Amino acid sequence: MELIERRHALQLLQGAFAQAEQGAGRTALVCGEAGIGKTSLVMQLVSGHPEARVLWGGCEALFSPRPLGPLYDMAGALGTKLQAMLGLEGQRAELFSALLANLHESRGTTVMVLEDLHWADAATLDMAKFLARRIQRTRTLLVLTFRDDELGEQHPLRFVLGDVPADSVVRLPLLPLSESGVAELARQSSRSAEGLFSVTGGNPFFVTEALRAEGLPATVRDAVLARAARQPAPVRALLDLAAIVPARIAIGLVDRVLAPSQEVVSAALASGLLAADGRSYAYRHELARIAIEQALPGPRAAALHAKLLACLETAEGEVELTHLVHHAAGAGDSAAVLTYAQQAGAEAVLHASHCDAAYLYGMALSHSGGLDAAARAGLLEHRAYQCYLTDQIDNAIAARLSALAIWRSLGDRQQEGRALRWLSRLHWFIGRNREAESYADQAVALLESLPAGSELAWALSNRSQLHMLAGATDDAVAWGLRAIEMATQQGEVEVLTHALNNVGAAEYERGRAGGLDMLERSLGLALEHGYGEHVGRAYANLTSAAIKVRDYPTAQRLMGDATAYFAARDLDSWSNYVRAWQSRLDFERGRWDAAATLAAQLVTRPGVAPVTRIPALAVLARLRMRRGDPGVKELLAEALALAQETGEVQRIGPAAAALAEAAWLGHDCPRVEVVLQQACALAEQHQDERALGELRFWARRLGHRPPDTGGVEAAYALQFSGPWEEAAETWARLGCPYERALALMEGDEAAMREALALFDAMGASATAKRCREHLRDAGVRGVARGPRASTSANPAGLTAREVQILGLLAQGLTNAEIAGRLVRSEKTVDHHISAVLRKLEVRSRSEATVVANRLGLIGSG
Amino acid sequence: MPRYMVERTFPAGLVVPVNTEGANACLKIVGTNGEQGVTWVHSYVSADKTRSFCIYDGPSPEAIRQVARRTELPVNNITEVSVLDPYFYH
Repeated sequence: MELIERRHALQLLQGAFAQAEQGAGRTALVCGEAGIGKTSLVMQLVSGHPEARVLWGGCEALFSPRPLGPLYDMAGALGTKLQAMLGLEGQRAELFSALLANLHESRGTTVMVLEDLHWADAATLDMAKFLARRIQRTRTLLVLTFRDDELGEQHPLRFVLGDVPADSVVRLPLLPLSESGVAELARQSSRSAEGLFSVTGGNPFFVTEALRAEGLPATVRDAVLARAARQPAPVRALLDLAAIVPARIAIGLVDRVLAPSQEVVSAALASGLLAADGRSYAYRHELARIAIEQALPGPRAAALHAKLLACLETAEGEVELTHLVHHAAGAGDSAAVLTYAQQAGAEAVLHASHCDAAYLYGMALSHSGGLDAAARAGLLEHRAYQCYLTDQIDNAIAARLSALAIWRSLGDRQQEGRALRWLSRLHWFIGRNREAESYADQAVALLESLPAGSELAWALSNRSQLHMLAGATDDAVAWGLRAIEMATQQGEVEVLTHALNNVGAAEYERGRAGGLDMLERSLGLALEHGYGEHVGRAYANLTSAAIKVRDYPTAQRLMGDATAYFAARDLDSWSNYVRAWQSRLDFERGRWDAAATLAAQLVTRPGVAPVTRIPALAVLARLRMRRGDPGVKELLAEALALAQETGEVQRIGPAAAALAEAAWLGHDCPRVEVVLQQACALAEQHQDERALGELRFWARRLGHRPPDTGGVEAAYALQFSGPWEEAAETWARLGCPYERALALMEGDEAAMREALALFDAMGASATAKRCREHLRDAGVRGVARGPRASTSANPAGLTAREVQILGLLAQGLTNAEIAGRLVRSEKTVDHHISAVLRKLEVRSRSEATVVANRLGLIGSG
Repeated sequence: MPRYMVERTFPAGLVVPVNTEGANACLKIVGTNGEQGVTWVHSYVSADKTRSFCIYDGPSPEAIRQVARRTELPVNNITEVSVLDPYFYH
């Protein structure tokens, strides 16, 4: 049967299938309101391709859906290897890879359908994201269906959809039928179309229901209920039972609860409400099931749930825990909810469905009246940890506080200390550093009064971590070393990994010997023992510290390793954090286009954590102000506000410096003096040489006060008191072209002119303008008022041929050799080289090479 | 989406012939712009053809610069602008 008004959607779907057949896998997003015909469309496609392998799985409208439920649905068709893996605990990355490998190796074309993703559990969403990102190289059409009208702004599916690669996706939003489409359906049923369109709004499911009803029902619910009401009592009982089970109910279960006669079953199927597939009964559509379920009187529904629960509990074979939770809750059986929700929570943890685990533990808690205090505190801590992993920090804090109160009343001091340490970590996470400090101190004080154990080692390491993040190096090292010693004695590898990270990061970012080794040791331990969170932290601290000490080659190397590790595991929040630092690395080294692209992506992406947003905002703001582009003010304001909430010099320093540079470039920044003073004081307090150097540099430029020269990084120290040539030389060696030009600006006339040429070549037109003013103020004549005529695509306005010749020149080739290489006359090459020198505003070939390297004109090194 | 005025300088003069070649050159630019969600609304060119003032819609100044690099068009200055219609006030 042909679907009405779905020809275009079906063509698009067919097209995607055809591309998948050719080995260019596609993801199809089929969306629309309930009853719009998403399933029918996909069924239509599948029925036209009997040769294709079809994997079909759906999500269910349970209180908390079963982790990877759709994958269990299709397990039978996936082969024994994958089926065996499904049962294994905590092997999610391996499971997804095996699934992908299965799709790769499959010879024919596969259609993989994940239905009703608006109800999906977190693990299923991760699976959808994992597959969609990698589907291109398989012969697979991945079909994702969902109700787009039921997705809130913060629905996790939105983030998945936003991440699907644009070049491999086809979107199929299904619209309601037109008036003539509805009339056509009525004609096929030999019914009048009168009023049908206006009542149904063109929803195909509603139209079909209405056409089966007597008279015209006002809502789809009325249509369904009217039909059910016509059924005799035994049939109605079967319909009611099937209605309280989402998606489908096993025939065996129905037989045990209700034992309906063959006539009753036949009548239920004949009613058109229910369908059977040999193993289970299912409502023809979820809308119908929900209509019946909602119409059930409360006590009747509870009694049915209780019956089903009793049957499932005594059933042989595997029973889904989430179904037990569902029916226990429906039956109002608190003891059963408590038991099964805890078990289902543990199951969700093993599947890394942390959101669902947090929900299930919360559900268990709300039925935990009968639990003793210590067990309740344990349950609270389970919930707190799952909330922490899923960015529900407020809920995590609430649960930890309740647990803390219980441990106190029980007099369990070790557990009390542990709760305090966790509260410290959680408060840091949401930028409430003062509370974090206070809890950290309380935890240490309490645990120190008890016999030493791993909890004290954790508390010491947490204390160290907070000092490290705040930039208090000496304190971070002192506390961290105590933690390391204790963890080593106790053989606590995880604490050791944590503490090595803190001490290593603190020392490395101050350029002290041994810091890098410690950090790499921490990384090694984390990788070896599979501590995902600590691997993330090690990579993040390694890369950020390497950039802070301007060890750019190390930073770049680690960045590559980190990116590969995070990408393989879809650890997006870590991966975003490292990308933010990559944009800062590119920014500092003068690779501005790359920096801008990355920073802009992070700034516009939803759900990016403040610690990631701050560097991205600061980089983008500074690029815009230097280029004279609009949109600086908003970015700066947000960066500063977010940074100040953290109170950490590593976030406040760059944001304050950006504000000062904006003021220097002529933006109106009334608060700049106060902000700079506070940031300088913070940097002084923590002896952060890098931040202090940069902040004082800008304070000096703004003429606030002559800065002290002590305690700043070497390049700035030279700039403040040494010969400008040496300062410029140092910046050149570090690989910071913009800073080098700023140093040259303080030199003689030739140096100032070189600075101007560099700013122009970098496309820093606002800075170049400021530099021109500086030159004129210094009495230099003949400075053009505007930039030279060609600030073109290529930074220095070189043609492709000129760039090529510059590359050869940089390799040390003579003019004659270049001519030979390009099969051109030597005279032509001479001509090109003079053009290059003129455009780069340099006098010699060696100078041209230096400038070209600095501007990234040569190669990609 | 914000609107920008992009100022460009063409020392050798900007020449877009009124024929298929010129049309193709423009369409190519329009196509590349589209990849970054940038729309070239229209341009004003100085009488000596050395400067142009182009009205663009785009998500950000970075997107405008990115496509400019790919289309090898110079960018001197980007200003965010809004429409003022003098006859609107009647």
